[in-house]
Amino acid sequence: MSETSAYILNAVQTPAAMEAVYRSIDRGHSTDEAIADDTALGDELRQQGLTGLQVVGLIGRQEPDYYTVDLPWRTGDDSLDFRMAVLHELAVDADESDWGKQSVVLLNYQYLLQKERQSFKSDDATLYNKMNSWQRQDRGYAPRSQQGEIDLNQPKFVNWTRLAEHIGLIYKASGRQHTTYPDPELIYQSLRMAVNDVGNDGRVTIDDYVEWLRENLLLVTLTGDRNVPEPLARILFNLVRDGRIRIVERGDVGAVGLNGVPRREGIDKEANSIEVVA
Amino acid sequence: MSDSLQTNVVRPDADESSRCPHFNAVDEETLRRLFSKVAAVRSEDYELFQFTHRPMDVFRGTSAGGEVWSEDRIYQEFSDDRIGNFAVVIEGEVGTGKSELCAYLSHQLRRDGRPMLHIDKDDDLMSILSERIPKFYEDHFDEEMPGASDFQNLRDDIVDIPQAVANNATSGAIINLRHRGYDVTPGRGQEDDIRDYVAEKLEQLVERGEYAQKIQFVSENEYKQREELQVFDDDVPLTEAVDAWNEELWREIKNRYNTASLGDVLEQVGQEFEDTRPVIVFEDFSIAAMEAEKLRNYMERDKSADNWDFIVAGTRDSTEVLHTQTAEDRFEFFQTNEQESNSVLFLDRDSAVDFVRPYLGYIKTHDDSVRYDRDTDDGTFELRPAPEGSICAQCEFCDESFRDLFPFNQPFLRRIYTGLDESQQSPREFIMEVFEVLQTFHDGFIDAPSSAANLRTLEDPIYVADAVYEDAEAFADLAKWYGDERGDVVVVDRKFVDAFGFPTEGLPDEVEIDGGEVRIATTGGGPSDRCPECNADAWATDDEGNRVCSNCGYGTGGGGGKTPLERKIEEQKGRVDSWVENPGKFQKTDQYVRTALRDLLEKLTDGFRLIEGTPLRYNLSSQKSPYVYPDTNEAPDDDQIVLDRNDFRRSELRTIVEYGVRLDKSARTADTEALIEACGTQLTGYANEWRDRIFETQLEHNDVFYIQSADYDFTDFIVSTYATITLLDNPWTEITAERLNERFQSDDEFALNQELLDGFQDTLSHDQIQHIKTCMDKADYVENVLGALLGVSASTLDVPAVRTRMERNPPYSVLDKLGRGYIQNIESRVRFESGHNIKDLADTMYDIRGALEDVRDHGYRRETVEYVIGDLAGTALEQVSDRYEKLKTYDNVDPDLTERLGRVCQYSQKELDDVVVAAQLAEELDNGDQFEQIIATLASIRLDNDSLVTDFKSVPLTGTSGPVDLGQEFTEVSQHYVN
Repeated sequence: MSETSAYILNAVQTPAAMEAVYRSIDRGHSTDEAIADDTALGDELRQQGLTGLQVVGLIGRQEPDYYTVDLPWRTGDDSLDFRMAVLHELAVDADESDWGKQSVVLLNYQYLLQKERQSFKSDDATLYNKMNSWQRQDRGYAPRSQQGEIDLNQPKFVNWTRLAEHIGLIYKASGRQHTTYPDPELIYQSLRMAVNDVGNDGRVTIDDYVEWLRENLLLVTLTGDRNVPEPLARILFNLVRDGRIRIVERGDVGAVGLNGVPRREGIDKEANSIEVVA
Repeated sequence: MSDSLQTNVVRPDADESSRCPHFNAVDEETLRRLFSKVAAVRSEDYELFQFTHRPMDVFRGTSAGGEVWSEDRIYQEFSDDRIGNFAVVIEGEVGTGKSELCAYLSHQLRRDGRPMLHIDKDDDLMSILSERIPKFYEDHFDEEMPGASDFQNLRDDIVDIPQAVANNATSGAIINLRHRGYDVTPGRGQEDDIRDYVAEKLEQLVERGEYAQKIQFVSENEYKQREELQVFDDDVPLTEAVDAWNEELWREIKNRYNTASLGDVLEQVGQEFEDTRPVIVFEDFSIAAMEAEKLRNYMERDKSADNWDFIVAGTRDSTEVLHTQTAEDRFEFFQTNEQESNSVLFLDRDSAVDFVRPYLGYIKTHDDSVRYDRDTDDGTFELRPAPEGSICAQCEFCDESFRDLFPFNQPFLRRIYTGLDESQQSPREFIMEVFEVLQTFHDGFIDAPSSAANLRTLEDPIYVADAVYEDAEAFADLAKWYGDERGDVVVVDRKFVDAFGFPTEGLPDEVEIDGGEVRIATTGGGPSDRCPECNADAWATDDEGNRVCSNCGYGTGGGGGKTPLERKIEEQKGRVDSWVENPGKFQKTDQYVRTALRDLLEKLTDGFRLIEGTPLRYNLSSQKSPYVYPDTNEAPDDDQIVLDRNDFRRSELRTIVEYGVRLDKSARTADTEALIEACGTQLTGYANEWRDRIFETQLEHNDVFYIQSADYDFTDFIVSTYATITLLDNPWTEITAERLNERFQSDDEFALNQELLDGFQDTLSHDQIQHIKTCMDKADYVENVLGALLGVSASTLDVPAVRTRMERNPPYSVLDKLGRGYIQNIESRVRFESGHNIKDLADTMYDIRGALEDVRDHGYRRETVEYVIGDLAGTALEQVSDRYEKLKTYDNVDPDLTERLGRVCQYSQKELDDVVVAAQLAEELDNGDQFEQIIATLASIRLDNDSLVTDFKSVPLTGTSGPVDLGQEFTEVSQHYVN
């Protein structure tokens, strides 16, 4: 893990700048000057966008030109494609044996998912200190700068909430109040991708889906009693309710439960797979 | 007892389809008679009635709440030695035991040898007179009752020749009315119509049940609706006309057939009984209105020769006619139920089990399995041991605590009673509820009585952990109805699990089964509800409603047990399961849930904001829920989403209802954060759905903002509005994405450019100018929303995105497609703040578009633009100032010239350059598209009213025809003026 590269939670306070800059480069504005002309972004915002994209891995540079890395998926929604690409790049780099420096983005979210925290405030010191400890002690992640280990603090956590909200992982209710709310469309599209990559006959086992998520999008594991953590389970429940997926029992794979949601039509009792319907 | 029963006893737990062996021997008819709604049906079988009847107490008097009499005390009133008529009037609501008391008194008096004339609830006046009384007479005196044939003739004629009877009655009644002094002269057609009407009424008279409540030929409504009946002058009051019709029609019929009134007939029959007093029982008093008064007069008259005992039961409405002062003095009135309630004295929570016990036990009496030692004083039953050889003795399945009650147990029956709405806690409702469960189970539709559908809407405070509802629902039902709460678990006798064939493996962890009992976890992990002083689970309620520990007295005098708020919360939590089944029935619970969810949605949307962080919000009515349930007939309004109660776990709903109660009763104790922490993801889903719904119906619908051929959206409207505002703020720059971003980044307040305002006075009407000012007042709101829709940050727009949008949907084209009618389709509840709503803004923009059109057509100041370009372009103000300074040194220069020149020299070169650039822009755009022409016009108007331009124009120069710069002009001028 590099000590010299930028740490995204310091470098990016305005995550929307990342997408604006990415689009500009993608349209052929490859130099800093050209990007400035195209986007009218001020120096600071433009630099945030460039740095954020670089540390995530969505752009590269061959002096003096920037170039974009292709987005991994095309869903028909450009914004969603970009957000999923950010997550993908972060997920690819989030290897437990060798964490990427920016893995904090996904690890913070994993903490919320695994601990089933459904709401929080962006200035909750207790929460970000717990996240910090959990990342070091349980997950073995300790990012460093030249000044030493980087700990989560309020400015960094606020920056994380902005980034997480922009990507579609959390929801801002008001002021500092947020809820854990994975964008249902993002989850639905991830299911389609997972079915395509590791599924069969229009369905994927829940075990495989969770693993696919870990490798491609989000750090998440089943709970100790083989249940999907509640915030993610509720989104799956809503997708079933909306007739977009079914959670079914197919084959001999072990059953997986959904934490915190009631039974309903479209969710088998001993479900082990997810079927994309529409 | 048959041998087959003794040798073929199959225990309930033998296999999945087993039942109590007694139920195999009972037929449906017996069951139905046993649980008949009408006590009379059960009382037809004296043995059954005796076994199941429970001693009753009722209130004496004409209203509940007074002295209490037992049924035996009432029976004692029926003395053989009475002189004159006597009546007991039993009043009460439906199903509160009137018929039961009638049946008890009837049985007692029949056993005493009294002649009993029973008037059935379906009897009407005609059947009483033509059938009941003649038969009663014949039964006791072995001869036909004198005059009986008159009633029979009347009845037969009505059946066979109704039209003829009607002709006779109608003609006679009309003549009688005339003799009474009424000016009644119906035409032939009208008289025929009256006859048809009377014939129809007569036919109804002999159809039983039609006249159960009231026999009348003509009611007030009928008189008003049937023109043929309106034979009286207009000055005859309605009531008088109706009474006159009824009296004369009935008089004609009675005279024609020599029929006596009911009172006369009873008097005639009663006098035949010399050594006893006959009894007439009106089980459900509904005598014809006309006859009821005569009957009452007969009942209450003070004549020693009369000898009838009357037992009259009915609802207060039907017995109202008996409430004369005389009757109330002479009769005994009793009330079966409490005032304003269906509760009765002989049935409450404590007596509920014993009340229904004989009904269930009766099924097991035929082999003596069930026999009771009864304590008639307190109405309790003690089950005797099953005798050797009886089915129960052989089966040995049941515990003695529920052997006679199986397939129920005591908690189950008690909870059915307490689960009924207070207004429904009548004996009949209770018995019917139990029977419905039993019938459903008996017919095999359900595996266990606790799963009966009718139980689901009853209030039952027991609830268990979510996993039990979700993965072992039958156990949740079992716990709710059979269970005994012990701390964090509900305990059920395992026998019920075995009897109903429930699985004992593969259950959630919250269900534990051992050899003797099943323990089903409640929500688990909650605080102990044991007494904090002595740890006993022995709560009781004192007279003031405070919870006190009956073991140590903790809480006595208040302050110890649960607060009223806590009790209210517990009560509402206990209703959640029932509310889920039928929210309409549990309206208070529903109200708390709605209060809670509305509040949570409001908080998650920061006051029903449509876009986070912006002033754009929806002013949802305080009386309105933002949702409807999917299983109601109610379609969602445009500002409502569909919310399924079953999307929540029960524990969540209990938390939500608690939150609702707290909001209502003690808002400061409502912990919003805890609730959002518990189900924030789910609630966020609803918040987003609700916002999407408002956007879909109010801001993005095909019927709002634009005429239908337009393919623009709300963001286009905001961009176009912002572009227009920016233009009106400063018309000297072209409207581009960059320009909008520049303005977006500026901290300057938006305002209509003063030079434009001056120029508009000549071009626009007062109203049009006002629209523009109004629009400018809302600039900050528009800017805020634009930032949320197309901003990169709080101070920077996503310029490429704005550019793309403006290229695709040019601002003026967007405004051009606004439609007044479509704007009206936007709810005024979509607003920035009170007084500033989107509809008004769109309306204003519609008007502004029109105003800009007018400006374009009439306002371009070509001369000024040309003057600036021709005369001012290239002017170096420094040079002008130099010359001006020299000019001032001459004495004989025109002072007006020096003054005006001095004024223009106050301007900076930049100001002059800006003016020139603006003029060049105007000239360039004047040949462009519509929007560009508007920009050109506005720029020219501003130029025309700009002080720099007017000051330059005011300098009294000569020879300015050529396109030469002012410097040169000034040189010539100075030479001209200097001598």
